[in-house]
Amino acid sequence: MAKTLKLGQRLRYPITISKIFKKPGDGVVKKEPILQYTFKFERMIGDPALNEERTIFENGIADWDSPTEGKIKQWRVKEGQVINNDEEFVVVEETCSHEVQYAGLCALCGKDMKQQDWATESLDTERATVSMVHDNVALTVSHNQAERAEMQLQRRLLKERKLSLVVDLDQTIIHACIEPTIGEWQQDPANPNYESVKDVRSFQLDDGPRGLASGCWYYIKMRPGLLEFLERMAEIFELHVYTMGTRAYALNIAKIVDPTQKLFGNRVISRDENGSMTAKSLQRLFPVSTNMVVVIDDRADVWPHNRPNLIKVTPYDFFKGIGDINSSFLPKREDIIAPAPVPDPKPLTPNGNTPSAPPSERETTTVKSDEENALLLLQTEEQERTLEKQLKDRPLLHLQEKLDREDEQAEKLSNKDGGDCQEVNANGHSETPSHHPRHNLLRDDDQELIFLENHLTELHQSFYEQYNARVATRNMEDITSSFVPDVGLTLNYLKSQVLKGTRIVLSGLVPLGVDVRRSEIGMHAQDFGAEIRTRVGPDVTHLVISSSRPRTQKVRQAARIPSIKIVNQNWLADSLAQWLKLDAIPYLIDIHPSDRHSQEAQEASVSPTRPRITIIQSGHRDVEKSQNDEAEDGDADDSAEEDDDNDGDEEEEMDRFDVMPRELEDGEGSPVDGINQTGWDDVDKELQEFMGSDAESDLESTMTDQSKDTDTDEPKNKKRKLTEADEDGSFEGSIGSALAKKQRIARARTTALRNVKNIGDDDAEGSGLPTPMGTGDEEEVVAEVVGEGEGESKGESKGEGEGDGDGDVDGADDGEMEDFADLEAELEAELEAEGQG
Amino acid sequence: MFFLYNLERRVTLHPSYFGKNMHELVTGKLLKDVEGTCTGSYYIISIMDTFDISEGRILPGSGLAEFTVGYRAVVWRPFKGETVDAVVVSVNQHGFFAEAGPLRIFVSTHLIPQDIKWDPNATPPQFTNNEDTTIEVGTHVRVKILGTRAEVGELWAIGSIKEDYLGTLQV
Repeated sequence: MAKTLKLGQRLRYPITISKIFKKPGDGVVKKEPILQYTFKFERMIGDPALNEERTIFENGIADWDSPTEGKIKQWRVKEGQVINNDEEFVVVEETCSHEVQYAGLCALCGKDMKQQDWATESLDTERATVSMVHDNVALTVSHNQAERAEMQLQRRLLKERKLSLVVDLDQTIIHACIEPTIGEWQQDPANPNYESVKDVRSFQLDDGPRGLASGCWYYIKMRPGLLEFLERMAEIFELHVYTMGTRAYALNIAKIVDPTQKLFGNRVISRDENGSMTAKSLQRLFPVSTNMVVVIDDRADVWPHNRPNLIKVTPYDFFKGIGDINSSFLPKREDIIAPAPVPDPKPLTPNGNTPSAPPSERETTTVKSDEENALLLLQTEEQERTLEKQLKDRPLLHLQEKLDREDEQAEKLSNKDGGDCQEVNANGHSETPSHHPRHNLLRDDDQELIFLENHLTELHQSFYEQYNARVATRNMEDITSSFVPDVGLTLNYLKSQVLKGTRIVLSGLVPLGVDVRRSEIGMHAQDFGAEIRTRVGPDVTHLVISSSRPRTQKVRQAARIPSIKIVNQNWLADSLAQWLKLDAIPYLIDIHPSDRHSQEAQEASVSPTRPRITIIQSGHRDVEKSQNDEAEDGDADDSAEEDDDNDGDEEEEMDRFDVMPRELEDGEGSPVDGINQTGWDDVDKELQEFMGSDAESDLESTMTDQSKDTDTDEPKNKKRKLTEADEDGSFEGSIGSALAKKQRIARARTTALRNVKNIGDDDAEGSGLPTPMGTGDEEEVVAEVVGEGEGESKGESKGEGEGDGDGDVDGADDGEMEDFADLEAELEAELEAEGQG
Repeated sequence: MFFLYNLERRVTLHPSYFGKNMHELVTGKLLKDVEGTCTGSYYIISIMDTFDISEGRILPGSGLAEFTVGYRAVVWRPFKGETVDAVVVSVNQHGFFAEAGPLRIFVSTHLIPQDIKWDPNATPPQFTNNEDTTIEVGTHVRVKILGTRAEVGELWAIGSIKEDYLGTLQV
């Protein structure tokens, strides 16, 4: 291969070529002179001590040594020529182009590539920098070589009408854990989890830096239908494994999933060869073109550069709470649309009893759960002991959490023995509904692979349709890589059709300080053609909310616009998983009546009846059971009613956890009461002094927060209405005062619980120091504000949310007196309302 | 190539081991420390015997005793041009890796005879000429070393089977 040599930067130009040693066709070896040149340079001579120094010009003669071995092909300079700057001067036909290198050795000629000497112009190792072999990073090839290899690969795949499919392991096709309980469950056919875990595979792995856990057992659950899925996919895809686990782990999994090596062969890459602990890259395997590569992974954020090629899979979470045991090096997962707690249809049968399980069975279950509990406790201890010694990347923390939750559940179950069934039902609200009444923690009901297979088949078809259209007129030999359509574009197109035309507002799903459009869920939804809006407006089609916080500001806004469907996050998650714009009806969230009718209520100025939370989450659609939809719908209705019935209990239950004593909530008999009734004028004055123009967001979030905390509070309903009036923009100036009042009430309550304080104290406290109770609430406030992505700029709302007190003081300093008239009017109006209530 | 080589090493011994069987302990430690290591240019395969265990000298500060031990070891130094038998451990489209004892040798496609071609569809993937020769994981091959490179504790080598009498071995 011919290489053109340059003279190099370090010569003293201008130079004159004085002699050329080699004729074209002559062989040269490394460090052999091929050219002689002369140059002029300045030099000081004489004795500096005697001040006889002077500058003279001298002629220098130097050789130019060949940095490479080969044959001279062509000279581009002549003897006697003067050269003024660095330029190419000779073409050498190299003996070896060192295109494949292994650990610093040329794999073609066996020469050491890391040697450097005076003749070296550039490092030979830089000729081969692309690492594209699955199981070895020391083997590198040149870009040309990589291109050739990839061209060959594409040709072959096109001929076989296949694509490449890069498959992630953990939580995509399998779920792994090292919890020893699984092994014991497997041994015990009487265990309620036995059915689920009996086909769990295990292997022992002496695996690197895991401290005492090395040599522990790994339990591997394959996603339901995996083998069939992979076999069918192997017909239209060439499968690769790309995991963040260690190599030994990856190979063991591959052995389980693919014992004959027919599916994956040796195309397994692990974090040992990945080159990065935090990100995967298709360029590692396909350095030149990813046109024919599809990725399936449960995490999108580990593929920063290959999003177009990625099909994001719903994480497979079989061993509850374990997560991905190999993700300890990855950034914390932030993308999941946490599936709304799926209400178990069974406990919510019309008669309100814990259903179907005959008493005897339930008893045995309890016994079992007690046993299990003891067992788990033992293991907890054991694991804690190991945990101490294990490196911190061990996922046992998750295990611990899981065990804790199981303990809690077992506790509940043992409660159930004594207590009334209905009460238990009410107790077991929203926190642990995913637990089966029979206490089998592990469920085997995942259907993702069915959807995934459809998506992949569809993608494959549409890719080859495009390809056929492009090459219809040409014969196989002419086909170059430029004819290969980009599967990423195809995938994007397919995805973008799914939610096309929907305009979505997210509420309560994106954490604090994150741009909704940049968040994982936002990007994911946008990939699928949905338009993400930050504000509720008339053209919005869906408001997706977190079912754990069904009463945000946006819900109230959206409730006024009948065309907006307010759905829980499962709608979005399921739509994205199934690539279907699902009917919103099963996911609709029943709006809080006071939210729904807020406007009328406000006009009437009559406080509505005691509000109730009625959330219908018949959520998860069962694909296979679409036949039974009607029946299920019926069930769902029933369960909704059931929910209603239980609501009272539920709220009582909530109050039990609430900080506030009952009488406080009613606004009677509390120390604050006096302030409420008599000190109002003082308060007003105080407020006038301290209140500036606070942001609306603060107010809203405070409101939302409080209204959520204490649903039963009637006066608050009025305040909420008032707030809504503010939001409508009728009282711009009143915002500050209302906010201040809220804050004051909140603070007064805190103090009421602990010790009585004056308002003056509160104010003093409010000057920047965190209030004792305020912190928790305020955090939530902030979260909500940003989560809702209101109009205010993020920094502003955040800053104010963090330091309400500061804001107050600043406002006073600013002395915005012109607002105060409005403020006062507003406060008085509110006072009146309070008095009526 | 294998050599019998006289080497010397300083072995330290913890004070708790001081006693009459110190020399045995020193030898044991030497075996443990040295056997199977790579010095950079050769592998120490096995220690034949030790001779001349010096008197122990207490190291100031730590209290460890230091012995200078002369020993005779079988070492293996791979040379350029040497022919070795190796077992294939990994195969890919650019060539295959084979292990000759502790040494991992890479043989690239350029150094495999033209008729032996990469076949990615076979299970397992292999190099084959569709006749008598198949190179897959586990195959025994005779390889000529074309070049070696050493770093501290490690050696790499490039091999070739593109010559007469090289290639797969009939087991």
